[in-house]
Amino acid sequence: MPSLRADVTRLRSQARETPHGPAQIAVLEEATALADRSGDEELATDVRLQLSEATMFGGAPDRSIATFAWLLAALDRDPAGRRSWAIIWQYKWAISNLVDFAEIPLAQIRAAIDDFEARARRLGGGHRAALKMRAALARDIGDTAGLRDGFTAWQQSPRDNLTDCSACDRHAAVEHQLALGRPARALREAQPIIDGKSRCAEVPHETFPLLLAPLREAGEAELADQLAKRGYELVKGNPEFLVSVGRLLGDRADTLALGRAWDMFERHLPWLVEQRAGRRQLLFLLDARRFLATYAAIGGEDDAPVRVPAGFLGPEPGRPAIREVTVEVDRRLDALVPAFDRRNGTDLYAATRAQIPGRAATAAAAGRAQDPARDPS
Amino acid sequence: MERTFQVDLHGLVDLLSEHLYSSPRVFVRELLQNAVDAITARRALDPDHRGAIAIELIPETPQHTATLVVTDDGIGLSQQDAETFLATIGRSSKRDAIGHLRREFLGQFGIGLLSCFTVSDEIVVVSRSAAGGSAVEWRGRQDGTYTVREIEAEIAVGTRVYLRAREDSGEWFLPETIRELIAHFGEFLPVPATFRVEGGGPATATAATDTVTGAPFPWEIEDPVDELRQRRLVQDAETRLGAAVLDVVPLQSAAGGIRGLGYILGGSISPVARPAHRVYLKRMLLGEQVEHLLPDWAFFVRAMVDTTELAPTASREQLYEDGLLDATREELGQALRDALLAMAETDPDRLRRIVDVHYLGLKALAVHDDEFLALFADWLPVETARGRMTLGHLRRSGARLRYTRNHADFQQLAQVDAARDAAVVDGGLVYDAELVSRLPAIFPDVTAEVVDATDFIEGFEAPAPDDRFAAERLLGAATAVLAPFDCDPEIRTFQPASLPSLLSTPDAALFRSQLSRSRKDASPLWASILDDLATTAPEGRSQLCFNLANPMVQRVAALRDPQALAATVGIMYVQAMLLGRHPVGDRELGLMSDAVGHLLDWSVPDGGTR
Repeated sequence: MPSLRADVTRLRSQARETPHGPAQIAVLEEATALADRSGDEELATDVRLQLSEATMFGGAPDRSIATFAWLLAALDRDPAGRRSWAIIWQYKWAISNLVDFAEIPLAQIRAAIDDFEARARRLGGGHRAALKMRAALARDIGDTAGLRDGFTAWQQSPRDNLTDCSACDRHAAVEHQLALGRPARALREAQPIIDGKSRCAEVPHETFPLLLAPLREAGEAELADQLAKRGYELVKGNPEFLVSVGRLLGDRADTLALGRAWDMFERHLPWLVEQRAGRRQLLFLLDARRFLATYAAIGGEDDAPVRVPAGFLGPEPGRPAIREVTVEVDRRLDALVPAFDRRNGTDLYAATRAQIPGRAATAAAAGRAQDPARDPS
Repeated sequence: MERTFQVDLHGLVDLLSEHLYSSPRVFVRELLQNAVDAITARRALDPDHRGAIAIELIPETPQHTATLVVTDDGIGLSQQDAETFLATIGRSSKRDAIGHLRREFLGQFGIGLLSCFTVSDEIVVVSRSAAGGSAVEWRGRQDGTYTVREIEAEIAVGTRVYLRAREDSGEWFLPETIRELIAHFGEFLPVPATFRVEGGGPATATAATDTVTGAPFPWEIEDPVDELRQRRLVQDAETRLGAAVLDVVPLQSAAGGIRGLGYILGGSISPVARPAHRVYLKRMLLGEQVEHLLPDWAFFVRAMVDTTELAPTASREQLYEDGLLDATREELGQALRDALLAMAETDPDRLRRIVDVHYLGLKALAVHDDEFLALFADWLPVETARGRMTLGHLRRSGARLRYTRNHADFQQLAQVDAARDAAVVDGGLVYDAELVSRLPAIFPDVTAEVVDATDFIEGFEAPAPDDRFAAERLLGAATAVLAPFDCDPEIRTFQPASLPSLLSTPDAALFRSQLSRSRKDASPLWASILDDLATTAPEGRSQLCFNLANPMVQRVAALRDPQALAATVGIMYVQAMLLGRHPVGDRELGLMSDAVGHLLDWSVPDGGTR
C-alpha cells in the first residue's frame, strides 16, 4: 500500500524535526500503527527503532520498554537482519528503564542484562556495557557492595563496539562516586564535564544537577549557582528530565530560593502526573518533599494555594492549599518508598526519606528570616 | 647551530592538520593572526604606530613551487623569543595545551604558525625585535629540525615569513585562492593588508596590488535613514548567507564583548536545527559554522558577530563552551527578545511577518518565559477546529480554552467542534498543549482544559424517545461485540450527522494494546517483563459512541437480524479505529473479516456461486 508507506515516511520526517517529548512520541506512534498496517516488517522495525529512541529520550520509559520488546522479537525472527546491531544497541536503553518500575523483579532485570550480554557477544562486544549496567543496577537499588565491585570491574574492562560514549561513561562514574559517598572524587571525575570538554547529546544535562549538593558542601557556591542555571536550561524542556528537575528543585530549596523553587515545582508537576515510572516519580517527590519541608520550616503559610494539574489531586486542575499538596506528596511517597525498597531488598529510599527535611530546612527554621514567597536573591 | 625539536614535530603537524583544523586553508588565517598580534603588541608600546601587512605571492616557475611572503611591521622576535617559543612547544604536544600556548603567546609568535606545515615543508622567519638587538632567522622544517641564527642584514623592525608550497599543495598558492582567503578571514581586520603577485603576471581580475582588509562591519556603517539601513543590512545578509533573510536585528552582549547582527531567516526552520553562526574574534573570522552562540529557542536566527572576550577552542574554529559563553548566550537571547518586544510596540507589521514564519521559535521561548508569553500570547497561532487562529483571538472570544492531548484526538473532535462553531485546539502540535495550559497562570480570566472524546460524549444528547427502542437494541448488540476489545458502546445524537461514531481511546487503553501487540511474539523473559508492567498499567476502556443522527447508524439500528447487526457493529468499530489511526491488531482484523463474511452470507445466501 504505497499511500500508507508515504504517510509513514512523512510522519517519520516530521518526527525528526520535532524535539524529544510527547509530540514526537505521538507522531511516531501514529507512524507505527500505519507501518504495521502496511504489512512491511522492515518498515515496522525502522519506525519502532525511531519510536524506541523517542520514548527513551522523551520521558516515556514504559512505552520504550513495550516498543523494545517488539524489536527484540523481530530480532529473534531474523537474527541476521540489517537492524540487528541497532536493536542490540537499544537493548541497553530498555534495560536502563527496567529499574524504574517496582513491579519488575530484580531477577528479571538481571536476566535481561545476561540476555543482552549473550546476544551482544555474537556481535563482538557488549561485555563492558553489561558490566556498566550491573554496576548501575547495584547503585540504583542501594547495593553499595555490589556497586563498589561492579564499578571496578566495569572500569577495568576494555571498550568495544557496544560501549557508550566516553562522556556517558564519565557521567556514570560521577554518579557511582556520589552513591559511594565520595563527593570529592565525583567532582574530580566531573571536571572535564564542567569544563565542557567531555560532552554528548545527553551529557552534561543530567550531570550538572547531580553536582550541586557536593559543590555547595565543598564551598563552591558560585560554581554551583552557575551549573544550576546552565543545568536548568538543558533540562527544562523535556519530561525525560523529571528527576534532574527534581534535583534542581531540591537545590533551590537548600539555598532557600523558595520563590523560584515554588515556581519550578508548579511548572513541572504536570511531568510528574504524566510519568509512569515509579522510581522517577519517587525521586522527584523526595526532592519536592524537601522543598515543602523547607517551606514549612521557615514558617511559610500553610494555606497558600499551589497550582496543580489535572490528575494530581483529582481529575481537574486546581489550586489546593500547600498543606494539602504536602499530604498528597506524603501519600504518594508512602506507597512508592516501600514498594521500591521491598523490590530492591534494601532501605535506600526509606533512609533517603528519613533525611528530609535536610540541613537547610533545619537551619532555616532556626533563623526564620526568609519571606517564603520571595526569592532571597 | 642545528638541533632537533624537543617534540615530535611531525606528530604535532599531523595533529594540527589531520585532527585540529577542519581544512588546511586556516594557514592563511594563522599567518594573518601572527601579523596582527605582532602589530597589536607594538602598538601597545607605541600608540602612534599604525602598522601594515604586506602579502606577496611569488608564483610557481618550472624550477620552483610558489612562495608566499608575509611581512608585518609589528613587534618582531628576538633570538630569545624564538628559543622560548620552541621550548614551550616542547613542554607538551597535547591538543589542550595548544589553546593555552596560543593565549600565552598572543602578540608574539603564535603557535598557529605550525599550521603552515599543512601546506609547506619549510617555514623561514626573518625578524627584528622592537626591543633591539640584531635580526634573527628561524628556519623550521617538517622533518623536525630547525635552525636559529643571528643575521647581519639591516632590516626594519617586524617579521617576514616565507612559505614555500609543498609539491602537492600548489592549489593553495594560486593568486585567486590566496586573495580570497585573505578577504575571507581578514575582511574586517583593523590593520591594512595588501596583496600583490610578484612579476605582474596575470594575478587577479582586479588590480595587481590592493588592500584586502580594513572594511567596516555592516553594523558599523552609518546610514542617513533607518529604513535605508534596514534594507542595506538585509541585502548584505542575503549576500553573505546566500539565503533569504526576513529581518535583521542588532545583537550585543557585554559579557562576551559582542556586537553584531541577528539574521532572521526567510524560510521556516526545524526546532531541532542547530544554526551555524559567523563569529569574528577581534575582527578576524573565527568560523562560519560556530554553534551554540544563541539560545536553543532562537533556532531561526543566524548571528554575525564580533567578540572581544569569548575564548576560541584550540582549532580557533569554535567557541569554548564555558560559563562566559553561557552568560553571553543569555545576553544575546535577551537582546533578541528585546528586539522582538520593541517591534511589537513600534512596528507590528514587521513582527507579524516574523511570527508567520517562525512562530515555533517564539513558542519555544514562550513555553519557558512567562513574561514573554504574557506579551506574545496574542500573536501566536494554534490549529483549531475552525482553522488556524491566534491565542489572542481565542482569548478575546471569551470562551473557555479547550485543547486535546494529542493530534489523533484533535482530528476526531475537530469534526464535532467545527459543526457547532467551537474551536478546540490541537494540543498534539509541539509546544501548544504546554502553552495553552500555561495561559491561566498568566491571564486570570482564562481557563484552559484538556478535553478528549469521553468529555465530548458526556455532553452529547441522549437519543430522542422515539429512537429509544432501536437504540437499546443497537446498544445490546454492540456491548456483546465490543466487550472482548475492552470497549463500551454509547448511543447519542450529535452533529455533524455525517460522522457515524466517535471513538474514545484513552492513553491507558492505547498502552495496553501496545503491550499486547509486543507480547505476542516476545521471548519468555520479555513476555514476563511486559506482564509485570501490565499489572500496574492503568485500566483504560475505550468508548465507541454511535451517532443516531447519522443515516447509516439509523439503518444499522433498524436491522432485525441479530447476526447482521453484530457484523455491522464490528465493521464500524474497526473503521473508527482506522480513521482514528489507532493501532489495529490481528484481533481487530479478525473481527472485520468475520463480519464481512457474515454480511456476504447474509446478502448472497448461496455463496454467490449461482
